[in-house]
Amino acid sequence: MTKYFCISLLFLSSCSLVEFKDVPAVARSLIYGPPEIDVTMSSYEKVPYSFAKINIGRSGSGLMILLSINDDVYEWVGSNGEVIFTKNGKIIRTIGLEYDVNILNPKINFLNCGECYSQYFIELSNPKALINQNSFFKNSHKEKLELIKKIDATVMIENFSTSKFKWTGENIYWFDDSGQVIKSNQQIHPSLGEIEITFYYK
Amino acid sequence: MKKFTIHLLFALISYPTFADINDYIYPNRSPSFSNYGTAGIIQMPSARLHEEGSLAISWSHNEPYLRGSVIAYPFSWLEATYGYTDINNALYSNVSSFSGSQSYKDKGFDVKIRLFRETNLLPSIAVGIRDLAGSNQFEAEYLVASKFFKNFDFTFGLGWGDLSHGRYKNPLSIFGDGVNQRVTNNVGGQGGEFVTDRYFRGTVGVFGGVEMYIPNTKGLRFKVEYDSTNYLEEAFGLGRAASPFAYKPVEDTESRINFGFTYPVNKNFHVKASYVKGNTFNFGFSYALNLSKKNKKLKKINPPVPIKNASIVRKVNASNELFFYRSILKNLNEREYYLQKASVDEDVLSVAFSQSTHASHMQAAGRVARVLEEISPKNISTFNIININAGMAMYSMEIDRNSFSKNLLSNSFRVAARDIKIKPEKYEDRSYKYNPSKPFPVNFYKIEPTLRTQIGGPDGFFFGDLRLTYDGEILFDSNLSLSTSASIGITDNLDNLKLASDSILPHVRTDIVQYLKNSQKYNIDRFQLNYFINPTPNIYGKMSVGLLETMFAGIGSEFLYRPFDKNYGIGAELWRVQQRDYDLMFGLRDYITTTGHINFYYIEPKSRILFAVRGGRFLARDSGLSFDFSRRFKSGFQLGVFFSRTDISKREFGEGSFDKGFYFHVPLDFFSTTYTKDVFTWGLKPLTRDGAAPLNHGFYLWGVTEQAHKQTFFRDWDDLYD
Repeated sequence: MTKYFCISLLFLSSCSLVEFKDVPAVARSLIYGPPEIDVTMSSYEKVPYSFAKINIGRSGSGLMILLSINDDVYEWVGSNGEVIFTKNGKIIRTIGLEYDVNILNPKINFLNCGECYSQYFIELSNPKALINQNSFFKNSHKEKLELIKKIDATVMIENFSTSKFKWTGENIYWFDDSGQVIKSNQQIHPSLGEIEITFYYK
Repeated sequence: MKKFTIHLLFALISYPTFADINDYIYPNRSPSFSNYGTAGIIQMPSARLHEEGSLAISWSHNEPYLRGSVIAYPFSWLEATYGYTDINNALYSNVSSFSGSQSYKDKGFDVKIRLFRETNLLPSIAVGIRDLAGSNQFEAEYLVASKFFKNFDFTFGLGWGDLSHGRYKNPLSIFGDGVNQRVTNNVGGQGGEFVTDRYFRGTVGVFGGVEMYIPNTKGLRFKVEYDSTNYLEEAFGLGRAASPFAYKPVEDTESRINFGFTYPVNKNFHVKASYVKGNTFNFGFSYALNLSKKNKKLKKINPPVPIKNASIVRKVNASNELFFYRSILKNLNEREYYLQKASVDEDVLSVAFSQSTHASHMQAAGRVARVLEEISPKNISTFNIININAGMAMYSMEIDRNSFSKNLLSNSFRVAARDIKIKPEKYEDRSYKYNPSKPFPVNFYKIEPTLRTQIGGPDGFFFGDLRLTYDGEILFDSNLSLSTSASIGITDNLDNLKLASDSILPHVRTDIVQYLKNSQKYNIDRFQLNYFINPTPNIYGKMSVGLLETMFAGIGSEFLYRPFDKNYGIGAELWRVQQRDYDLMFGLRDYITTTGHINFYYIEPKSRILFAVRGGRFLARDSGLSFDFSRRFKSGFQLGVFFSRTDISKREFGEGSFDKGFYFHVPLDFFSTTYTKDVFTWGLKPLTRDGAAPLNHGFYLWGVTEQAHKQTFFRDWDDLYD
């Protein structure tokens, strides 16, 4: 909605004093957002490390590099110091986002569980709060995913609900035959848009 | 055991943070706006205010009134509202040849000041005046308190003027009986004045209400209030008995209890509906945005671009000084920092550059220093960065390379700042060893849509003219430029504009309708040759000739003394001008005058409020003072008000009594994905009159020399490594 207000603001004026600079460029960026990053086979090959392409809401896409793996926790680092920790593809902690989260008990490997429940204790920032969240994981179906090449993926759906306030949703994970999550759509914070991550491993 | 520990930890630390959970149960709790365009319940005001640096619009339809308002928050304790009310039970006038069938339009200016901020025990308390300096159609004053209790926000207040239903004795009468009488409206006046002997006078009414936040509904709030408005006394409430322009009375109150709801679609945009007076359904919306903070995404999207193979570049640069200079030129220009001159003297690298990308001059200098740090040979220990604008030196920044480099990774700008000296500079053209040739003349231009408007006149509420505008600047030398603004009309509805000037002063502004109507197809707004000089550090000059603004052409000069490390500046300007023809081409009318001012500027260092006072002779040959107060926020968002008093009488000035208005500059990089120095400027004078009209020559030296001042850097130290 911010965008539409801004556009209407640009077209307001009065009898006494009006400047009207750079409207086309600004209006374009307001409507379409920043440009999208396109990962192709050649750009994939140019990057020497595993990386992830991340979209948060409509704020455009960015790349994060895999910095380390400790106890199945993958640490992805962005160019401006943002850090996202994932475990089995699920985001368990973030640092440097506008709205950060920290799952205090990032425990089960839900990818092999078929159908399972889990309860997470989550620390939210901005504003700070502690919540517990119940998640139900279920293998859904198989799907062909077209990234830099076609991949047969199994789709797992996580339905979550929060006890202290009304926040429910669905997270989706696509994982390949080796059990690695190759893509996910996740809601990690009520104030943050959906995060879409595509993982490119090396 | 681990699970138990986590549960225990969770139980222990979740209790103190329960209050924060409320932010998720009841999100989007920013204050909503009343139908009068002030933060409030439904019709009644509350003691709530938005955060400082916020800007909002509010629109409501509450029969017979349509009301649109712009609300600004220059401070956390001050709310200023400017609005138009379309009064649909009265005509603009009873002369159909003058205003046709247009309904009455009323302009109003309201303020609310918070006296006391809410604490755990005590409420927030505010005092407000409605229709402060307008026609007083909706005049009211109030003292109001608001207090949150769980998810209920209670409000209680006392109202004067139109809010005085109940007619209780004025509690201020303990200070004297004089406050018990409220004199009638300003009969025979020109309006637009502060009528201080009416405020908080007469009987009072009592009002109150509550906003109940509904859990888990994105901040939906149900509202109920007791309304103390005297609806028959507002505007033309009594119909023809109130004014010959009015053709029907408003519906009288059937119930003093109003109720309704506000739904935040998101944290900024609220929609609302309510039922008031027991007989009137109304609805509206509002949008509020905090513009005080920088767009953080810009830095993420546009980080400093590192030099490729920097270590090799450094080695090559160490081998040959000319390579080094060319490397500086290439790498700075690629990043849109334009190298003017460079010089290496032993271990000091001096670089003069100009830029038009970053509004934060600290950020621009920091990014230039980064490039120099990456490409400079190891023997360079000090960078002396000089910024040039319009051929004049704005500042020089002496940076200790080692300190800058050491603190870069940890972004310790405060530590780095200890080893940075910023001082004024005089630009010595010949004192540099490397002078890259510049291909003068250079032409910068933009072609973009523009809109000219005329709002709130008797012949129609809105007249607009959509145009395609060429804005260009040809640089003949670094300090000699020709600035041009010309446009062609695309579409407009100006044909029905017919309001002729009634001014008894020379028509220096009030012939605006003639200008608009005679320049519909094409026009030249500006064709101005500028020459800038910087004779000594801290002194700047400008000489201009040509079509200086929309209505005047001429010749003149402006000088400014702006000591770099002081909070003030003093300037003077003198212009000989002739009025332009209505077609806005090169023709001139007969009216010739001399105008000039002494200008004084002062920046209050804590609040960073800029006080500007201009004293002198205005275009209509009236003499006096003009005052401008503005506040700039970290983001570059700026709010300002101005007023002028000159040696003409209120009658000579005409409606409105004296010149006044407000403006704001919204930095476009707040909404953009790339850095830009451009701003969107919107200003409004309630009325266009001839008195106290200054010449609007472009490139005011105070603006051109913004970075020639220590405050500009002190406010943005944190941008050094951005």
